Amino acid sequence: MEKLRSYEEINAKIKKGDAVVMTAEEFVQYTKDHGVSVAARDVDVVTTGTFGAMCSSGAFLNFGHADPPIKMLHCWLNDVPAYRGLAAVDAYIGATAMSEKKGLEYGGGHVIEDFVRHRSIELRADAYGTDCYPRKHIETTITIDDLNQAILLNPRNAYEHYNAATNGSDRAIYTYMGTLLPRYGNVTYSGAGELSPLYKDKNFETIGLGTRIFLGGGVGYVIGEGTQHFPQQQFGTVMVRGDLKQMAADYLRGATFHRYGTTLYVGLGAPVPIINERVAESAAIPDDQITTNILDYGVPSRSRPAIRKASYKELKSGTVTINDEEVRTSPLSSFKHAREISRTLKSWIEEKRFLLTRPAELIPDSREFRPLEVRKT
Amino acid sequence: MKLRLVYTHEHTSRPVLANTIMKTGVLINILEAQMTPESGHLIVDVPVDNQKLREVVEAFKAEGVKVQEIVATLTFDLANCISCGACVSPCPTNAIIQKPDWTIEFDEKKCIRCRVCVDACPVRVITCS
Repeated sequence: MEKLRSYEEINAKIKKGDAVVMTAEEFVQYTKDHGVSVAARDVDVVTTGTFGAMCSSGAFLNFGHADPPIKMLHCWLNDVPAYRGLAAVDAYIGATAMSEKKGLEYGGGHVIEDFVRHRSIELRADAYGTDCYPRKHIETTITIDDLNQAILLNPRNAYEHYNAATNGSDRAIYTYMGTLLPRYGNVTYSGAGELSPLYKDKNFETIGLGTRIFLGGGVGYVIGEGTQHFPQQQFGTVMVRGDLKQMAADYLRGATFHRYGTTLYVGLGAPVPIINERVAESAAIPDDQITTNILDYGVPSRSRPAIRKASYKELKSGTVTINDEEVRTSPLSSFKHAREISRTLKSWIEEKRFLLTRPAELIPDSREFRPLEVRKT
Repeated sequence: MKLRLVYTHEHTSRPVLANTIMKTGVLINILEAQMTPESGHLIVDVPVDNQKLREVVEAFKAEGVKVQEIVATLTFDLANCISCGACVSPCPTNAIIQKPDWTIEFDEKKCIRCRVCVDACPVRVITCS
């Protein structure tokens, strides 16, 4: 594959203000008008975006030491337990951890949003006490400004695409895919379609450890493949990190899925450098060529039956046909915000505020996807 | 127009709603009903305007029922809405739609107060009055 441009050449153009940057939606249209070859030569960078519920998200926090100091055994932030199997005052607050007082209505995702909003958060911890860390209990309030580090580190974000959901059972069900009415009453779907960061470089030629991205309104990095990365079926994922202190609540929102639990809506956008025509072809894939399965979540099994296939174009139209009936569809991830993210990233690049990075290691284009076998002893 | 009807126990034995429908010819739809030994509360949809609506209201009043117009059914805090769409397809009457820019639009007239959207909203910006 003929190389069209290097990272160094792209960054030199960005610094001069000469780089040609398009959002993925603009690039899809430009390719339809001019063909992939011309588009690949004309455009340096394509920007993407997604804003969806991403349960595998959380933040590492360092509280600093109190006097006398404590080696926290258990720790809560606004009554939400944080993971404490780390050094004395390091903790990880996960998006799906739930308040011991408010339950599903408030969780780790909400704590993260409250940190980003600079709201006061109650910190409580207990300990068994050691000679070097004698304190056994602490209760105080903190804000993000008090923390030494607040690092968003999400093990799995930005699914390349995702299943759509419906419900063939006789009762309404409440899932991480939202509320699903009985007897195929509606269809919900997730993923950003033609704006999806990973679908726009689906052969993973430009994305990997060290790729600088838009994350939660600030700058972050891809730090490798995400958990459950399964690129052969277009279920690629990335692990990302970024400084929570730079982020904004417009792009990080705590959320509750009714009778399911809490999560975090994460805004993420990646730049796709058009280094060759194959990357351009991928970046040019339109919604009607990105298909997904509509699965029956009414079947409580790992292997949910696929009712039919549908493209993101069909899903975005607002209805699909199931068993000769028109069924309403609606997304769970925000296309409005996804579009805003792709436009913001474009403007950052055009304003010379964001340079591209060459990944130290690309994410793999193939991975085994194993189920958990239940072995009875 | 949606009306809240408050019955006291003196009226609960009479077919107030049926009488009003027969008298006015308006196809009134019950959205919510709560009956206790002391009183009854009904929320009904009256799919007419102006003169005909006044006729319906007067007919209810003639039956001795207290009538209140319901101005707001649901409140959408759109400033905090993330425009995700989680409330849209679960709505059984298409009262909630997404505009071409994906922002949410709520049509009060179609709402039947089932509240499915209140629970479906992941960021809790829909409240029921």
